[in-house]
Parts: sequence; structure tokens; C-alpha cells
Amino acid sequence: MYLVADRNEQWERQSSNKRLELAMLKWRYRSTSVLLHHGKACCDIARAWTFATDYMQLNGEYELTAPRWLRARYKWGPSKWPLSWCEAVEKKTLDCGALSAMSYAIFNARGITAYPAQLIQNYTEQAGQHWSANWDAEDAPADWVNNGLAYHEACAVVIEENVVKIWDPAAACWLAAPQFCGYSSVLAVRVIAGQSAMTLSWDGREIQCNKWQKIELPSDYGVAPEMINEAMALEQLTVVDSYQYESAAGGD
Amino acid sequence: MDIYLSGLYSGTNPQPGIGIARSIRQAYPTARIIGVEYSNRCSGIHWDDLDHIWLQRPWEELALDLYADQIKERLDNGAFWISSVDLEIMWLASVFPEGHERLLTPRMSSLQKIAKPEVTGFRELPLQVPPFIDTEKPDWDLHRFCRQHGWKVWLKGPYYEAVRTYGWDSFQNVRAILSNAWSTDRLFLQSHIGGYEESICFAAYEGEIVGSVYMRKRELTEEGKTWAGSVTEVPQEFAAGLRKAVADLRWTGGAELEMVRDTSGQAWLLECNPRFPAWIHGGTISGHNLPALLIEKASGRPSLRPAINGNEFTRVVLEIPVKHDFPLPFLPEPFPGATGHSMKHPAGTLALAKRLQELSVIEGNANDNSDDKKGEPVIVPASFIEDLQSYDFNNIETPSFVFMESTAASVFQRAGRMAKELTTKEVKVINAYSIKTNPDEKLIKLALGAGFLAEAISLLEVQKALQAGYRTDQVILNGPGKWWPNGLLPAKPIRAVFADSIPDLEYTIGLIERNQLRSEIVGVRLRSPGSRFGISLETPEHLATLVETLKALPAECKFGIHFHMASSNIGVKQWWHLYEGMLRWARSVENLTQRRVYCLDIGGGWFPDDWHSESPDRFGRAIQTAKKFLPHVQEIVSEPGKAMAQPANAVAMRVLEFENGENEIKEVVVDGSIAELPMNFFQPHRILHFSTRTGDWTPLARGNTRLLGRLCMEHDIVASNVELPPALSKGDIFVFCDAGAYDRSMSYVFGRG
Repeated sequence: MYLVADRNEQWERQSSNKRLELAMLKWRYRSTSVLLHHGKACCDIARAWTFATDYMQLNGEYELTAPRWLRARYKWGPSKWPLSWCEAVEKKTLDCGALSAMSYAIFNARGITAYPAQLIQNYTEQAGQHWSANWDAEDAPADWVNNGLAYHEACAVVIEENVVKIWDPAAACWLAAPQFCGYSSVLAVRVIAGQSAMTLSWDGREIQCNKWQKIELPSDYGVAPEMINEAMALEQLTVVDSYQYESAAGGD
Repeated sequence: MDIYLSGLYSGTNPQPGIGIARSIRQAYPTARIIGVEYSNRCSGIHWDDLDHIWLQRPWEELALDLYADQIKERLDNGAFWISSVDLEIMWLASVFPEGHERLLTPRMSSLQKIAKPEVTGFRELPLQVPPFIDTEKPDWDLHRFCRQHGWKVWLKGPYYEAVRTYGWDSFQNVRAILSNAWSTDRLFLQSHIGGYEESICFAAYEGEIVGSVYMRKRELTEEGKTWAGSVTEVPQEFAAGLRKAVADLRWTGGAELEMVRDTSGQAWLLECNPRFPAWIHGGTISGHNLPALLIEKASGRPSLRPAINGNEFTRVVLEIPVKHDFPLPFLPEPFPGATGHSMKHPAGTLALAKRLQELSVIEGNANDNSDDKKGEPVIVPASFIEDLQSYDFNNIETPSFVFMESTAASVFQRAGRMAKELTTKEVKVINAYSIKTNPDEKLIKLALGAGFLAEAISLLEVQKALQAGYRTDQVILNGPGKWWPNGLLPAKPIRAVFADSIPDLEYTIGLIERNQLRSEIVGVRLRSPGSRFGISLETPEHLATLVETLKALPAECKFGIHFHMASSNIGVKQWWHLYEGMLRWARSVENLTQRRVYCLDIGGGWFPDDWHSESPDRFGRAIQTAKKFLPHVQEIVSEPGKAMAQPANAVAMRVLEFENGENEIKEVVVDGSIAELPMNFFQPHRILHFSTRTGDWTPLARGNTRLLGRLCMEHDIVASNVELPPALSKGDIFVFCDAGAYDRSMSYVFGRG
């Protein structure tokens, strides 16, 4: 038995910078998800269908309009990897890795430069328990959940030279300030681009590609530091160094 | 310090009064805040921050001059007044044309420059105003506006209310409701802008901004009202322009610029509210207490600065005690058979709108009679009149369809010319006439003469084309019932056949294999979004099935792809997007099957004005785009549909009776009906009056009269809100133009015994 106050205190302690540091260490070699192509008509058809459907769904709107139809069509949930294009399009449920891989391919098919993006998001231990149970039930690894933090995949879309917006295909929204503290906030990001030296701007922040980096709170954020969840009132959240991107596999 | 606040309604579409009271209470704990309301049904009167309630009778019961004197007395005695009701603000502006130092609402001159939809006072900001059209324009123009904007349009009232209208029938219904509710026909249609909603809210005194915030909506009610938001400083891109605009307007009071930011980043100005928004206390939570800053500037008394509690706010629902002085009123009895208690606008807002119009306070027009719906007359092409003058309307049998000979000939000739001009060495462009649009042999022959192919959806239509002079190799067979009825399939080769489903494709292939069908081109119709026709591509399995089935198509058949969607239903811009989307599908099918697409058949359902006004360049670019996606295409078939047939017929109907009202004729009964105009609910018709007395032709403008059909059917109203010519006689003729397409082909016999 424990007191709620004790548990909160314990939680606050765990929600510290160390928690994030450990998570970044854990996921340092994690690669972004990639849909396989069988090299046959099955996957040609799947890709052709995806891109033609996407164009129709744009409905004449601006080409940077996100492919929200993906999330309307596919429920978010466990996927078993490896996953091919022909398998993915036929599923009813896809994880964020599959949704991001499809989004990335869609933006590129539209002629828009996009990069895979990896995120670490702040949730609760209990949320992680439920996700783990759901993933276990589908025999899919829940290694994307760690101590109240979640590894997540998204899509960094170039809107002008070296400026990106980040599309979260699982939540069907663009991620932006002030979602950098508290529940569901983005604590760290890694954008995977070919040139490791490239720097991108995201919502006023400098993002060095291919490195995990913590997110700095906006300077005009209107909350006194003591009111911020300890998990986010970390020391100055500039670019911490960084775990160089290496290839592996996975998705939430 | 006494501060009067009005606009206390606190439902799901709340007024700002409670938020202002909360903000002022934080800044001035000892101020006496007096809530002003016009109905004891308003829950806001029970809010604890209001020290006193000055409850008025509803607006229809108020003696406005007396009320104005009472307000002036309070202002002169040192009280402040912040109004949160748009119509009250307009009325106060008329009572105090030069303002009052303690009346914290804008002057009339300021209000005139923020009138919807143009909002001219903020032109210097980097904002665009969504395209709009005044509904006093002829219905013909309004329908065009809706098509141009893909029916993504809102019908908006002059003060409040906006209703999305998805089609002509819903537009007509909503227009009638809004016009009646707000006692004005001065509504406007505005294009929908998709995106994220945001606002700039400011407080200003005598043209000087004393505070401003920028709010992005983060949760919305079903009505699109703010439920949660994030508040930050006004972005730099707006700051300087906002200061100048407010100075130029000499603005006093709160205001909110409501905007939508589209996915390209462009901000669109929807309207400027001449008051604080209902979420104003959300600004105070984030450290920007604009109502207090306004009071501080006007009174010179410093306010307590607000605590900063982050930059996001949300709403919750609270139950609060009812004040003993204002026990809850009883519910009215529901109307028999009706749902609910019919209690909208208990404060008499609609009555206030009517009274302000009568006082010429709003709309700036002294002779604005609320029942007057007169508008501009519609412009009718000269060829219509020329065609009509060839008939003897004094002796014509009515109701009857009238063939517009020269008009019809000219549209077919023009289309034929255009096809020739668009044809290149690589791609032949050819028109096809959709027989179902109007199977009149005169039109089929005009089509044949102008080089059109004939598109048939049944074997009976094929026979009709052959009887009119077509050869079988000039006939395209299409649709789900194309093989009906049995036994009429021509033995000679036809030009093309397009399968409407996978079983239809398999059946067609079977006919070819058994030598029961000869067709130069065999293709498939791809299903457009929202359509029930054509082969579905909704899932990858559907695409895979199509690819697999096409493997059985004999190699000697030229392959074609057809799609159809009425541009008049989805709008011109959407149609062109659909066109490019279908080219992508066609390219995918070509790549996946390795069957070269030889023929592209495009069905349009074009409204005549759209098709005829579209520049040849646009069609030329479309041909180039087709070639880019389908490099092997050699034949493009265009089916303009009703663009050809619609102008070719009019319906003449005769005046049977009418009754003179007090000032004008409200209803006229004619011998025509919706049986001759079945498309009346889906498209407007330009109407001409022929005077049997003078022989004059007069196009009808919008007015106050209804033309009632001869049928004993409640909905047999062939025109609403038309303006009659000065001298109407029994026996006069009304000619409904633009009735040559589905009005003609789908007209039915009814009430003729």
C-alpha cells in the first residue's frame, strides 16, 4: 500500500530529465519504419492505389494538406513487422510506423520533400501499461513504451527551404507549440535526412537532422517554470548531444 | 465605479458578458458590475460577479427613446457601458453618433467600415476576404457562384447566423428562413475556406489600442464556437497594420477579427465583431485582461494586473444557484405535435433587427422595406429573344416546350469548332452527344451535323441515334443498362463500349469472344467519388480485380477509359481536380495492365455557362495534361452533356389567375407545373414575361411574388420571389428558359386526365 502523495512524488522524480535521457539512450539505434516492396505487382498495385486515392482525397485543396484520409481509413493499433505495401494497405489497423511510412511516401509522390521523424512523447505509466497489453495481445512488441514515455513516428514535411512542419499521422494533426510539456507533449525529436549536417527549422526551433534532441520550451511560454511539469522543467533544453542515427527497424 | 455589461447569454453559443464580468472583477474587486439583460431566461443573470441586474423587457416591448435617455443618464453620471450584443451596439451607435466618453462601444462611422462581408476597415492587414456574392443578385448568378466554389459555400445573415448550403434546394430553403428571421433579403453567399480558426482580439479607446491578443481555437463546439484555445501575442505580421487600422477607425471598445488560416498559411478574414469575444476571459487567464485595460484607459483608474496561468484555456459547464430575485420562468407549452418549446431569441433580438431596419439604423437605407425583395433583373442572351420571337405566343398552346433553334444550333456549332481546333496530330478530340440528356431528334441531328458521336445508355437509344442518321461506328455504348432491351444490339461494329462494373466487363469480353459484339474500343468506366456508376476503386482489392479482369480483354481491342461526374454538382474547380485524379487512375491502370489507353472519354454534366465560358486554353491544357499522363492516348471524347441541351428548350406557360393584394400581387397561378420543370428544385431558370397586350418581353427580377403551378400539389411552385411586370394580364405568358436538358427529358404527364 502506498499513499497517493508518495506515488506522485515518485512519479515526479521519474518524470525527470533522466527519464528522457534513458529513453533517448534506449532508442538511439531505432530506425524509422519502412514498408517493404515485394518487387511484384501486388506491391505495385498497393502503391498505385495509395497515391491515386490520395490525389482524389485532396479534393482540390492545397498540396500541403495532410493525408488525413489515412487515419480515417486505418485505425491506430499494433502492426506486425516486417510489413509490405500490399499487406499494409489491406490492414484495418496500422501503427504509427506504417502510417508514417505511407505519409512519407505520399508527400514525396506529391512532389513535396518530406523526411521520417522520430519523437519521444510524454504520457503516463498507466497509458504505457494499456498499450503494452494491447500490443502483447496482438503479438507485437511494445518496445516503444518506456516508463511513461512513448517512441513515436511522424513525418517532417518541408514547407519552405529548410523549414518543416511535423505531421503526426496517428493523431491526424500537425505538431506545434505549445505542446512541449505535459501529457502527450513532444520531449525529443530526431528527423532522419540523408545529410547529417543539415539543420531544419521546426516551429521556430533549430533541428539538426539525424540526432535525437530535446525540445526547448518557447521563450514566450506563459507558465512560470515552477508550474511546469517536472518532466519538462528540465535544464535548458537545447540540443543535447545526440545519438547518431543508425539503421534498425520498428514502429510503435 | 459602476460598469454596465450587456450580452449575458451563456449557452453553447454564449455572449461575452460573463467573461467580461469575470475579467473586470479580477482587475477591479470593488467595482459595481451591473448586468443588463432583456430576458429572465438568460442564465447569465445569475452569475455571481454581477452585483446587480438591470433587467429590461424584451426589445419588442422597449420604448427605445426612453431606454436611450435612461442609458444616457447613467453614462452622464459616471457609469461605463460595455455592450456585447451586436444589434444593441448598432442601436447605441445611432443614439450616440459621436460616442460618449464612457460608452465603450464603436461609433456608427466605425461600424460602417466593418460591415460584412467586405470589412473594409482592415484592408491593410495581410488578410484576404473569402469571395462572396450578395443574394440580391439574380438566382442565375448565385447558382454560378455556388458552382464556381464547388458548392462549398455559406449563406450568411447580415448580423448573425451562417448556414452551409450544399445544393440549390437547400440554398433556397435556408434563404427563405434567414430572410424571414432577420427581416431582410440582404444576405450573402460566401465561399468556404478550410483551415484552422484563429482570432485577433483587441481593446481600443479613441483609436488607440490598449491591448490585443491572438487566439487559436483548439476545441470547437458543434456550431464551430470556441471551447478551448491558446492565446499569444499578436503576430508581427499583423501588429503594425492593426494599429493603423484601429487609429483610422477611431475605434472605441472591444473587437474580434475572426479568421481562418488555410493549409497554405494564408489568413482569411471572416468578419469583425464590434465587441469582445465570448472567450475573452481566456485572454485574461493568459495575462491579457483586455476589458480591464479598456476600463483603465477610459477611467484613468489603474487595474490589478492578472496572474499568468499559462497560455491555454478551456471551458467547462457549471451549475450555479439561481438568484432569488429572478426565479426561473416557466416553460411555454410545446406546440401540438412539435418538438421542444420554441424559445429561441427570448430577448427579442429578431424584433430588434426589424425595429432597427424600420429606423434605418442598419443597412443604411431609409427606404428599406423589410418585405421588399426586389433585385437586379437577370440578363437573358439576345439569341433567346430572337428564337422566341419566331413563335406566336398569343396563340401558342400551353404549357409547351419551345425549341430555341438558333441558340441550339450555335452551341453545337461552337462545340464542333472547338473540338477541331483542339485536335492535334497526336490526339483527335471529338464530342459526343448524350442522348438521354434530351432525345429530341432535332438535337440529335444537330449533334450529328456538328461532328458529334452519339452516346447511348440503352439499345433503344442506339436505335434512336441510328434513326436520326448516325452510323453504328459513331455510337458509344455506356451505363449499367446498356444491353437493354435484348435483341437490339447492332450487328455492325460500334465505336466504343465502356463497362460499368466488373461483371459487365466480363460480360462484354464474353460477347466479343463469342463474336456477338464488335466494337473498335472497349473500355471501362472508373467510378468517381460519391457515384454509384463505374468500377469502384475504393480498395486496393478493387484495383487488383480490375487489373486481373482486364487481362482477358482481347488484344485486338483498343482500350479506353471513361469517367463521368456532373461539374454542375461538384463545381468547376472540383471537376478539374477530378479530371487530373482520373488521369492518375488511368495511368495506374495502364502501367499495371500494360494495356495502352487509346481513348479517354470524359463525361462532364457541364452547366452551359461554365462550359461555354471556359476558355479554349483551359481545354487545350487539359489535352496536354492527358497526353502527359497517358502518352499513348490518341482519341479524347468529350461529353458536354447538358451544356448542349439545356439552352435548347424553354417552357411556355400561361397566367390563369391572380389576386391583387393591398399593394401588389403575391401569387399567380399558371398552367405549367413542376411536371414540365422537374429540375426546378436543382437549378434556377431565367424567366421572361410576354405581354399579350403589348408584345413586350421582360426578364423577371427577384421580387415578392410566387408563381404557382396548376397541380393540386403543395410543392408545385414553379418560381418563388419574382418581380412581376407592372401590368400583368390573364393569358400573359411566362417563358422558363434553360429547360432543354433534364427538364425536357424527365418531364412527365401529370394532372392531364
